[in-house]
Formats: sequence, structure tokens, C-alpha cells
Amino acid sequence: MIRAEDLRKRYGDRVALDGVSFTVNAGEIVGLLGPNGAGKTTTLSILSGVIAPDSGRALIATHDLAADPRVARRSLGLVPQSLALYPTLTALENLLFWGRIQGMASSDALRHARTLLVEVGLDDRADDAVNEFSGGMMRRLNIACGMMHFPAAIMLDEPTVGVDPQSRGRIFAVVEAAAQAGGAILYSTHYMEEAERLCDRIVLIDHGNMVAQGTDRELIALAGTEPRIEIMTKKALPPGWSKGIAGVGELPWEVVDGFAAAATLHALDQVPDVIKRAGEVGDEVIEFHVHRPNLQDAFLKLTGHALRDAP
Amino acid sequence: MLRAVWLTIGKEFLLIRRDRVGLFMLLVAPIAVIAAAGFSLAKIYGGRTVPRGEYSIAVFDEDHGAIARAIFDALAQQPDLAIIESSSRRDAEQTVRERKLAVVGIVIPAGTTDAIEHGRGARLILYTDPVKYLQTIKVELALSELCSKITAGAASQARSQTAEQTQSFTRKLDQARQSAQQARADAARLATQAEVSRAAIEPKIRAHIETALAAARDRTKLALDTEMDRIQRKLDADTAAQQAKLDELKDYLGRLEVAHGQFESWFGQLQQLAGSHAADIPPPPAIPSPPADLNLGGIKLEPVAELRDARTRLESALTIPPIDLNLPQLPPAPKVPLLNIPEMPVIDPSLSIPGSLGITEVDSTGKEIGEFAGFNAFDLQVPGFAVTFLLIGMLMGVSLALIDEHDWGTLERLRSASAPLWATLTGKLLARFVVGFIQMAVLFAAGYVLFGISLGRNPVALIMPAAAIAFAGAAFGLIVAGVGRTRDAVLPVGAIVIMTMAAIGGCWWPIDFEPVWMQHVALALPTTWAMRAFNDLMIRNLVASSAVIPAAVNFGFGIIYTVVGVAIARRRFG
Repeated sequence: MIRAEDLRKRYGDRVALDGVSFTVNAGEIVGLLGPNGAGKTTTLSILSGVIAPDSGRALIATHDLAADPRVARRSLGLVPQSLALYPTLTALENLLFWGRIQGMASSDALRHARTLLVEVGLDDRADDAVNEFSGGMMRRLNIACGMMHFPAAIMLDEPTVGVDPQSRGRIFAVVEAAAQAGGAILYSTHYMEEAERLCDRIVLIDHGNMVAQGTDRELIALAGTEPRIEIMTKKALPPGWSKGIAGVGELPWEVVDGFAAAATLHALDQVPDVIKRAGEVGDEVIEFHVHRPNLQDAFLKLTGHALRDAP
Repeated sequence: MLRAVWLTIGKEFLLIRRDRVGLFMLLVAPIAVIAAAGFSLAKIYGGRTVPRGEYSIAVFDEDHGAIARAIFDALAQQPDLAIIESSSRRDAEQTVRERKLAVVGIVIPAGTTDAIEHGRGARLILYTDPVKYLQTIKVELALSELCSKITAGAASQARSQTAEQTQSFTRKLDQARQSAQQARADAARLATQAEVSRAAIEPKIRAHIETALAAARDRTKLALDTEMDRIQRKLDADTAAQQAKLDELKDYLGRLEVAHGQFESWFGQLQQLAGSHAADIPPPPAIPSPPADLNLGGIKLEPVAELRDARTRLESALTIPPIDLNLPQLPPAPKVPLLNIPEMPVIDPSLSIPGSLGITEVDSTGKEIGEFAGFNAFDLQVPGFAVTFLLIGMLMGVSLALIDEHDWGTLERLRSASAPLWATLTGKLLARFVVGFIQMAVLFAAGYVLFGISLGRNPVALIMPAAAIAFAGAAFGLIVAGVGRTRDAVLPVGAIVIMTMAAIGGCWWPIDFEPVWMQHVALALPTTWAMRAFNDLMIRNLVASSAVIPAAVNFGFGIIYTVVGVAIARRRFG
């Protein structure tokens, strides 16, 4: 279990965190989603004991990080955004070091390191120096290091930055396996797709404030966003081209090349009717794209700016 | 927490083992630099690593004497000198200044040996190349020592001869003194013997004289009697003769008186005859009249009776009274004057042949080293560059590694784990301290094997300064890590600081080359104390205790650096 209770942190005049509270339960993956600079890393730093909050409380596996830091840290596995690895050590040596520094016996560490290397797909590179690894391999090893000592709480800070799809898939698998093993996973990312794909719940954070939390559907619903369709036709669709189809709202949309139009839908089952109408009015539908509402839309709706481009 | 420290140490060793560049910088690069510096600067320190014949000197001998031969022999024994014999002064000069085949040209002028042997000064003539300043100084130094030795040898020989002559003279004086004393003793003995002899001979002399006098008296009496008899007889004869004569005289005087009366009568007649002219007749010569009282008739010569009386008196006189032979005392034997032969004065050294001021180099044990030997340049370069690269190693091992840990994120991960910052720092410092110590040991071993450095009286004593500077260096790396915010900042900052500390601290050259104020500044640097200890142990060959204070100072520096470094690191990385 990971619990943040009204965490606040200031750096001079800048407010980094302003009352962030959430809980990650055992076996649960919670995404900490927000644009760069939103306060995700600060939150993780406080929760991992790297920095102290100005106020608020952090609990790791029921242990107050401030009151009982040693036990709390033993229950914590941190996967920092940077590749917290020793480049000249082998993968196995890195794992053994991080496992043993967390109190594991040598034999246990070796056994679990071998298991983790298999899980992250690096068992055949166990004795290679890390500086010979690709970025994705390093990311996978980085995660494995954070999980070496069977932590009850695992915090991952942007674990897939610069990672190839194959590595990302392995990372997801490892994270999901850790959650299934009963770990409380706090997964910080600014990749909406990852949060949607991986997380049971999502905490939206922006400018140090927790905007909302819940499942992706709850957040999307909370934001009130609707499906959208974008259509390219042979001829231009005149305003009012969707008149008569209930719940469809035309959107202003201009493209440089070709004739296109966009409209919001009440429900996805309206797509065939809309395509049919566009073909009739625009002579022929060349291309169309249906956009389901997602966290990006919800974030945009809730904060007024895009998830990836915080001002 | 000790577990974290221990694991950090192990991890550091793994990192170091994998860091080939770092290992190169720790071990290979220092040896390469030490070799370059040591061989390059060996000439300055006059070490024995200079190859034989490193310096060539041109020599022209005009003297051809013993001194010239001595100079040649001595130069030939100099391991780093090669001799080029020149055919003339001009040749020697050209060899140095034009052909540049020799560092120095030496001319041994004619008469050098004679001058030295006769106490006069003599000077060698040198041709030098001002560009080859250091080599010239070295050769001049060697020559100066050589001249000093030759001069000292000559003076010593003269002094020895003088001493021998003095001893001989002293011996002769002693002999003379003994002879005089013997003479005095002999004289005294002779005087005594003379007194004894005198006492013994006096009665003999008296008897002898008396006998002689008696014989003489008898002979005199006999001769006197004889002569008196002869005289008596002669006197008697003479008296008789004279009596006869006297009688004839008396007869003559009687007849003369008769004649006188006749003449008076004749003359009266004459005057009468001359009548008136009687007045013209001169008076006749007056015929003296016999003295009135002359009574020749009363004269009667008698034999001389006094002669008999005289005989009696003479005989009486010839009676020799007992001889009172009072031989005069022998004058005292002339005293043989006490010859005051002065003692041979002890020759005041200041008044003797002036000695020569030489140099005897002794090591710390008092053992004479001989001529000024300089020292193996590697004895300075090995510890100097070992310290320099130790500090560089600390810069990389502590400063950069700490920043790397920060940049890699491992420091953050460590802090999120059960390893507090102090444990990480302690582990890192201890690991680097051990590595630094091993580095020093390896470099000293390499210096010993490759360059023949001295390890001093007790090589184990080198552990003290090596450990102290390793500790101080590791702790200093912590400060650099805290001051330099990034890797790019640490490198120049660290490099500047390390190079400055090494240079001022005497790692690259003897600290005595530096001005006094800089030497005072250098006391604030651990490099200074490390080099002081190494120089004391390796070059000055002092006892192990000489390294205690420098090592203690550097441990003190290490403690201060640790306290400051941890404080800075906590603020920087905490």
C-alpha cells in the first residue's frame, strides 16, 4: 500500500505540490498522469523518501516514511526515471547490488536476480556490462533492480521513456506481474496510452495539484467528453450537412489539402449514419476517422491544456 | 548501516576493476609520466640514473704532469662524463662552442703540476656553452670537487711532509738535549775525578818537588862552590894583577910629580929668559895635581873576603825549608752551561699550511657518502607523481563518481533504499582510500623495480605517509564533488586544484626550489607534508619516526576535509 496524504512541497516561491492525496492498494496499479513539470517526480521523490515534504504524510506498506523510514524504505522499490544503474557492472551485478543493499541474503538475491532477468528478457545478457545494453534493455533492468527485494510498494517514474515497443511490452508484463503478486504499483507517466493500458486507476496531476483520480472511464466521464468523427470527402461538406441526425454536432475543422469535416457524436452507433450522410452530401467519403474520448481529452477538458504540453 | 558501507565498498571495487581508463590513469599513466619526468629531470638532481658518458668534456693537457694525470684519472672515473682529448686550446674551445660535441672544454695549463707542488696557485681554463647551463653547472661542480680534492691532496701531502720534518727536527733537538745533559753529567763527573786526583797527587808532587829541590840544591851548591872557587881564584889573580898595576901607577905618579916639579922650574927659567916677552908667553898647560888625599901607597889589595861570606850566605840560602806545598785549589770545573734547547713548539695549525675546505657528504646515519652524489631523480618523481595521480584518482573516484552516481540516479535510488548518504559516502571514501593506498604501493613497487628508487631504511615506514595522503586525498575528493556541480565543472576545478597542490607541494620538483613565501603557503597543503615524509624517508634516509608528524598532519587534513566534504555533500546531494 502506498498512501499520500495532503503532500505539499514548495521550492522557493514555486509550489511543486499543493495537497496531493491518493492511495495505491496492494495489487493495484495506479497511474500518476500529468504533463512534464506537473509534480509527478516530486510526488514520487517524497513517497520514496528522497525528499521530505513540507507537510503531509507518506505511508509505505502502512509505515510512515517520516516516522519509520528504514522499514518503510525496505518495503519500497523505486524505479527512477533516470537509469539508476552502474554502467560498467553487469546486469547480474547490478541486480545483486540493489538486492543486497536492501537487505537480501546473497543466495536469495542471486536466485531472484536470475528470475527477474528471465522476466525482463535479459537472462542471456546477465553477465554483460550494462553500458553495452540498448536503452530498452537498460529500462527493463532498471525496473528489475527496483523489484529485486520483493517490495510491497513499487514506484516507477516514467519507466518507458525512449523504449522500443518490444521492451515496453515486457515492462508492462513485469509491472502487471508485480501487481498480481500483490505489489502496490504507482506508475508515473505522461503517456496517456500507458496509463489507459496498464493502470487500474489514474491520478491526474497538474501544476502540483491533483486534478482528479479514478478509472479511465470515470475520468473520461467526469470530463464529459464525447466521441468524434473526422471525414474527408470528394466535395466540401456545407454547414448543416448533418442536419437530421440527432446528437451530432458539427465542428469547425479545416485541412490544407482536400475537403474535410468533423463532428461530435452522441454515441458510436451513429457512425454509419454519419458516414452515409457525408457520402451523400460530399459526393464520396474518401477517408474517415473515429476518435473515442480518452484521457487526453479528459485532461484537456479538466485543465484547459493538453497533457503533453503543460504551459 | 555497516552492511551498506561494506556493499558500497564492494561495488566501488567492481566499478574500479571494470574502469580500464581509470585503472590506466591510476597505474599506467603515472608510471609513464614518472618515467618521462624522472629521465628528463635526472640531470638536475645528479642522480645515478644518468647513463654513463651522458656528458662529454673536451680536455687539453699542456701540463703532462702528475696533476694533469690525476685530473684525467678523476674525470675518467666520473660515471656520467666522457672525455674527448683535444689537440690544442683552440680545438677544445671549438669542440664546445662550435662543434658542440662537449659541454665543457678544460685546458690544464703547462706548469700546473709544478705550481701545485711548489705551493703556488694554478687554474684550469674552462670553455663553456652558456646554453647548456645546467650541464655546465654539473660539470663545473664535478671539476670544483676535483680541484678541491687535488688541492687538498697536495696540501695534505705538504702537511704530511712538514709534519715529518718537524718530527725529525724534534727528534734531533731531543738528541741534542740529551747530548748536552750527558755532557753536563760527564763534566761533573770529571770535576769530581779531578778533585780526587788532585788530593791524591799533592803529596806526590810535594815529595817530588822536595826531591827535585834537594837535587837542585845539591847541584846548585856544587856549582856554586865550583863557581865560587873559580871566582875566588880569579879574584885573587885579578887582585894580584891589579896590585901590580897599582904599584906601577904609584911609581908613575911619583915620577910624574918629579917631572912636574922640573917643569915648573923649567918654565920659570923660560919666563925669565923671555924677559919683556915673558908676558907674551902663554901660560903652560896646567898639570893636574893628584888629589890631595890620594894615597896610593896606602892602597893594598887584599883577597876578597866577602866572597867567603857570600858563600856562607848562599849556602845558607840554599838550605830549602820544608816545602809547604799548598797546591791551589782546582778551579771549579767549568759548568757545562745548561743548554736551553727549546722544546719544539707545537705547530699552530693556523700557522701551518692552510688547509683546504672540502665537503664530506654524510647520510643521516653519519656514514660518509663521498663526493656530492645528488640523488636518484625517481626518488622524488615516484612519490611526487604517485601523489599527483593519487589525487587525480580521487578526483575521478570520489568526485566524479559521486557526481556520476547523482547523474545516473543511483544515488537517489540508494537514498530511497536503506542506504543513507553517509553510508554511501563512507563506503566510497573507504574504497577509494584502499585503492589509493594500493595505487601508492604499486607505484612505489614499480619505482623500485623499474627505476631503482630508494625505499629508505625501513620501507614499512612508507605506509604512514602513503595512508595519510590517500585518506586526505579521498576526503578532498568529497569537497571537490560538492563544489563542482557537474562533471564538466569538477574536471577543470579538480584539475586546477590538484595540479596546484602538487606543484606547490613539491610533487614535481623539490619544494626548496620555491620562494620562501610559497613554501609557507605550501604548509597548508597535504601534498607538502606527504612529500616531506617521502623525502625524509627515501632521500634523506631518516628514521621512520620522521614521518610521524607529516602523516599525522595529513590525517588531520583528511579529517577536516571529511567533515567539510560531508557537509557540502549533504547539502549538494542530500
